[in-house]
Amino acid sequence: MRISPINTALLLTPALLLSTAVGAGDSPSLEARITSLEVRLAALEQRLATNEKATETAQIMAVSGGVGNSLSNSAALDIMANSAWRNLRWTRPVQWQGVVPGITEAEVIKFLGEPPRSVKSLKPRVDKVFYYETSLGDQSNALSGRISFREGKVIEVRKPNFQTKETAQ
Amino acid sequence: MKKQIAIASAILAATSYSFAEIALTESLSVEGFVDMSYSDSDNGESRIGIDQVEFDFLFNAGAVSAQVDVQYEGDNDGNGQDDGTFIEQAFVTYDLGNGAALTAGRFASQLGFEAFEPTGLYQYSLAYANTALPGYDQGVKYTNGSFGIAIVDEAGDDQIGDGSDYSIEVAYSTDLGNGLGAFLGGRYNSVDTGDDQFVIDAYLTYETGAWLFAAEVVHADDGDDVDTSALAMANYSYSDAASVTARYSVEDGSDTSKITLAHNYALADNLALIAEVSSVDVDGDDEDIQSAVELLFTF
Repeated sequence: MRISPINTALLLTPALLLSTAVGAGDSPSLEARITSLEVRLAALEQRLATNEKATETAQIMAVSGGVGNSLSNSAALDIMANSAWRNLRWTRPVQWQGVVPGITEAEVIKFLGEPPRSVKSLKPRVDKVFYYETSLGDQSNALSGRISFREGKVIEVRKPNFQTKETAQ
Repeated sequence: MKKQIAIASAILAATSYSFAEIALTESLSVEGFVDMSYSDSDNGESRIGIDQVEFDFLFNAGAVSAQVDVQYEGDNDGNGQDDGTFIEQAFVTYDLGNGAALTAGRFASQLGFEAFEPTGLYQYSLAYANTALPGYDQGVKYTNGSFGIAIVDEAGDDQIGDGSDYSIEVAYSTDLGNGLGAFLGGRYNSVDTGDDQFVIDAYLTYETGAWLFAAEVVHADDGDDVDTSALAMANYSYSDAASVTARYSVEDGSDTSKITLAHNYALADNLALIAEVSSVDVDGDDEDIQSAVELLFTF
């Protein structure tokens, strides 16, 4: 067959019609796919954020539980999982560097956050004690520090044993 | 085992957010104590048991804080029956800023050197058996730093207004420096069915090294009767965990004098053992020797 303008036109016309029809059909599908991808992306971002939080919790667990038994870790996890509001600055060694005898309660809280537990001391030379601890039940595995006050000033600091963290990592 | 010497804090103690507690949530915490003892007296009375169990719930949310103290009392009056469980305090405090606060509800009086709770005492027993010093009242209170003024119901009638008893209480404390502190407070009790009464309470504290000295005078006058009570106390902390206390107190209303020697030993920050011997002389009769051993746990 000779290639002529007429033949060419006859051949191209169905192809154009077909491609137009196909294109017309793809347009809404593509939008749907993009929407679907956006939804999936949002879901993945949400999962990523959740996993990042879980990773941070796991790191804190490594600090608090070390290589202890699973029961103690589980107990500590329960405490930690419900304690996000406690502000866990105190689980980082750098935060303890400024906590020295002579500073005020407010300064301690600024460095370490609110203590999970404190008591008005019954000892005559101690007014109150701040306890920074991850577990009330397992002293062997828990990360625990304490600060004693007299007349609003720190008189004694017992830092947590962060060696446990290094061992765990 | 001591009362906070910073007297200014004594005024605010019942109204400000306490910082000795177990945090339950960001805004809710709990503290309290268990107080148990064995006591014996020359007159043949002896008892062993729980004196008090108290849970204090503290709510703190910005400018608003609240406290509810739930207390169980054993047979402290010796009638053979527990005194039951009740709400000792329940109040809401609104922080006005710059150290000022407004409190409403049921709260402790600002008057008196000795603490209302065993956790703040230097001994097992109180100095006065019959005193004009008030206890817990219901009303409103304004505090600003070391100054406080309250209008409350009088004698527990739970009503304020015309035709009802009421009291106005004013308190002021100051730090005089070098370990010396002073407190002055007064109370006017308007009594419908009797004579109105004035109560003046003044005390000084002096802390030097391991020593603490205190002296207090409480004077009550209702126009007909005058009642004066007084105490002098010395406390010496001879170690990080132990202290001894000597106290002498008199009450002219009941013609009573009392000498107390006490020893406090803190087994831990939140557990103390207190031993006490008191000689009580009432109206010139034979002295009654009273002794007690107390175990106190705080949380």
